[in-house]
Amino acid sequence: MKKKLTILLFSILLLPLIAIGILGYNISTDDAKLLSEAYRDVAERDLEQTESVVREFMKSTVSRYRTLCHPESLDANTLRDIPTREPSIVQYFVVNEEGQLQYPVLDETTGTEEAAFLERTAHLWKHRHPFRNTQETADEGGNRGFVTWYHNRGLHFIYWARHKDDRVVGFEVETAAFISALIAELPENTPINNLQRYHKKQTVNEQKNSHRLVKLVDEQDRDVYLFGDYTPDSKASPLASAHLPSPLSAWQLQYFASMPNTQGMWQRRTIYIFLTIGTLILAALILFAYFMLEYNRESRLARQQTSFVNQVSHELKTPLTNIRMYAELLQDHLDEDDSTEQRYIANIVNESGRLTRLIQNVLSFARSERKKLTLRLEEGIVDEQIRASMEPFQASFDRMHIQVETDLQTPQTIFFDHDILGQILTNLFSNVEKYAHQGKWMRVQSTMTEVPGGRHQVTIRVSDKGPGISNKDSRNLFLPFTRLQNGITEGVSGTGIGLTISKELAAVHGGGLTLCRTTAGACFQLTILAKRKEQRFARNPSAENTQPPPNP
Amino acid sequence: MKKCSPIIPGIAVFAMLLSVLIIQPNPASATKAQLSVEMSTPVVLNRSPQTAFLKVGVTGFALVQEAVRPPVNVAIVIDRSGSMSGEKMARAQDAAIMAIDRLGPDDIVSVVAYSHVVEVIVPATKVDDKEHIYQAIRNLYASGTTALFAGVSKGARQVRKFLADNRANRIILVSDGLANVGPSSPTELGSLGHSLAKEGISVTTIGLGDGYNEDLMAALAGNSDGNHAFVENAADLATTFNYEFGDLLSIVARNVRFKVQFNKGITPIRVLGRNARIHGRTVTSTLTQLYANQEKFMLIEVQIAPGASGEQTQIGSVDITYSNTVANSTDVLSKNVYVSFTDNWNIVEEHRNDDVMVASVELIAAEAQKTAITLRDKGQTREAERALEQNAVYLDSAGKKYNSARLKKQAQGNRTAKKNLAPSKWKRQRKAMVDDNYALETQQNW
Repeated sequence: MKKKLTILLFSILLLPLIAIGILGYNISTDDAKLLSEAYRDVAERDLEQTESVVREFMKSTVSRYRTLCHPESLDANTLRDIPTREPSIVQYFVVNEEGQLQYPVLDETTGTEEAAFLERTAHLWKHRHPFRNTQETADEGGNRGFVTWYHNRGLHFIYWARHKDDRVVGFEVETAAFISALIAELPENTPINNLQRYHKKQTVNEQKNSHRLVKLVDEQDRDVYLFGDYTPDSKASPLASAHLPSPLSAWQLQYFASMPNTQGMWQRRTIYIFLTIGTLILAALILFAYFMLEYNRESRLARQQTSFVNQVSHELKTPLTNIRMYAELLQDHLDEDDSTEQRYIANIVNESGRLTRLIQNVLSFARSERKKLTLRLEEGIVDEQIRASMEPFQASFDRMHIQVETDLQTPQTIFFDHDILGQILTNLFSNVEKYAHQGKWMRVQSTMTEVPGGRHQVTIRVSDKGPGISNKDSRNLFLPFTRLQNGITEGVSGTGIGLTISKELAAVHGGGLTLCRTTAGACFQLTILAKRKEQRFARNPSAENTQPPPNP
Repeated sequence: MKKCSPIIPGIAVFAMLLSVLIIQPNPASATKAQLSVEMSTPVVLNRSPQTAFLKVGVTGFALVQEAVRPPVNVAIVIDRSGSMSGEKMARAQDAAIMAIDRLGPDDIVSVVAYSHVVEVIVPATKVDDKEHIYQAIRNLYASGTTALFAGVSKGARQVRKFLADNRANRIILVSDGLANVGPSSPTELGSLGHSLAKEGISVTTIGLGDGYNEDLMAALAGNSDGNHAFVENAADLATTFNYEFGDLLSIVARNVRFKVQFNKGITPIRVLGRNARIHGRTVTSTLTQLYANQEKFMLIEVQIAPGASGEQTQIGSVDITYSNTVANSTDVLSKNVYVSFTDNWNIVEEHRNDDVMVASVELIAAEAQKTAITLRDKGQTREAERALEQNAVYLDSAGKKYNSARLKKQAQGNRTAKKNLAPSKWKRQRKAMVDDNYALETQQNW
């Protein structure tokens, strides 16, 4: 009972909580996604500034390279001299209109640098027109552009331009100078001084640098240059990235930024969600505790009421016995059978008998509450006990025109508790009298069968054609407290406590009281275990739940 | 000398005609550089083709007054990666501040610090508010990795802001670690140095402790005609900066361009020590700057075809142009190179120029030291040991022959190196050797 209630309460409260939690989590991750999209946008815009620096650099560099491709003279001395002054040039070359390398060529004046250049670029001269097939790197209709290649793991590139006479003049670019010049153009960090570092104050400039890092990475994703004050995880992927223009098209600018707000927001949100859930769980627990307390309080109250009724009943018992005794004495003294006095006294006797039964029920219940029910087995015949129990009801049954059918087949003398059986039967008959009198019919059956262990099982069925008991009601039919909560008076005078007591008593007698299936009205089946010899039955704690053996 | 000609007994009593190499009766104007052209053997045998060394040296004139020195445009690039923290950083700061203290109001200084990122601590500015600059330097702290290439690139950018022919344009790099962000090979940094030299910017590299890449630092300095120093203890940084600024404040000429044209029958084989280009019979080289009272030279190994005995023959001419930063002029110096031929070995020996010989031996031995380093790098310790021993023997015998204490000292250096090939000592020894070689090849006198 308690367990079920606990589970019920918990599931009622926990399921919505879990739902809220999941919803909250989804909302916050969705928000985080939205925010990270926004960050990506900002990152891309921010990176765009750096890209434009690179574009400007490339524009001016390429325009200088174009000028360098048109030296004042193409004779070897000039082409040898310019690279000794020009930081961008490693080595000039000239390809004639037939597509053949005109300078440098191997002869007696070839220097070591020139020879090394020829070796580095050998693959370029194998093609007859190496500068006609480089559309992807050449602009303006294939008349100038970059050619890149790797030699000894180093990146090399040349810039070339076609002259009007169809000769191609170009030079190998000093890669280190090119990269160095590019790095020089890119922003650098603003220094933080010690004071700022210790006080963690940030200048306006610093704020601009804040929480981002732009990386220039080469084709193998190695860092070439970095600026910004953010330190990303080694596994972090960039928020935005962009490829550099030719000739460094395999290089990338990568933008990293901390997402303090998303992360912070996410954490804050998580905290909020857990706080909410925590609060709700607390509320649920308080509610649960309240219910449990209330439940206990009510059951305690009920017990107090029971014990009160019990005491009152005890107090009533003696005067009632006296009333009955004197009424019976009075009855004996009156001679005339049909006199009005005789009738009145008969009523007094009947009603006090009924009151005695009710009090008996209350007292039995109180005893059962204290778990002190014991059997008192006496020799007797079940059928006789049935008839005896039915006797006091005869008058009211007749008055209500209730037709009583009996089918009693237990004439054997056996040992059973007369009081218990009588009390149960009285309760059952009383129920018929109270609730099923419209049916105007009652049948009482009794049978006895032998069960293993040499014992006998007596089965008594009481059926009526009253309004019957609905399925819903039948579940709680034998529960005491639900009745008691509805009103103790009604419970005592009505069926509520009577059936509970009856079931308990039947269990004490090794049997049970159950509702049997019928098409119309109600049908109660009472079983008890009996023996021919004197025998005691210990109260079986699980008897309440045990189904009585099937009816033969 | 690599090969010794057989000794020819003196027969002829009457000597052949001798030759004088330096004839120019220069009025020795104090504001012009001095060009010297000397052959190792002014008299050569007239038999098979003979090998000789031509030393072309140029000496900066003395600065009369320091006030007239060309203004300095220097970027101090300081490695502030994590390894520099503590003593090293403190000493570097002290040294930089002390060096800047020597500059005048017309000089320009900038300070760049780099870790994995680069910070321009002091943008290029005239040195008039020194306290402000010192404060910025004192604020430096160490952390992060080493983006050396970017640091130098940013330093170059600061120097470029005030780049001028009449200024001593210089980057001074102080680093104690291996470059690990950006281009990091000696080749790449060498190329950077080379291109900076073309712009007129020299890079002086100061390696601190034993964790830096000496090849990279030497290549960067060598190709840009700066100085290079191995500073083992941070405490010596101040001295090094002093030397460096001593050079920097005594620049008298810039953009010194050598052109040596040889006549027919004379073949330049190689140039010892310096970067030079050989095209047929033309040898060209460039010096970014020349310091007062210092001689810088290059040694060209030439092969001389036999000529007629007794005749003094012009075998080539030397032309030098440079920007005179004191007189603000472009100066041209020219000299011719002569040799005489004989068939008497004694006469060859008699006229031998021992100074040139010693310089040649020094540089040839330096080459051998490089070979030994390469062998040791490959793990061939025994071969390296042998190479150093042979080199010491060679230096000793040459030292005895030319009576040169310098060569004997160098021999001693090789023997010391031989003992320090063990892994525990090699790191330091290698840096010392690279540093010594650098000083030999570039005539850096500190």
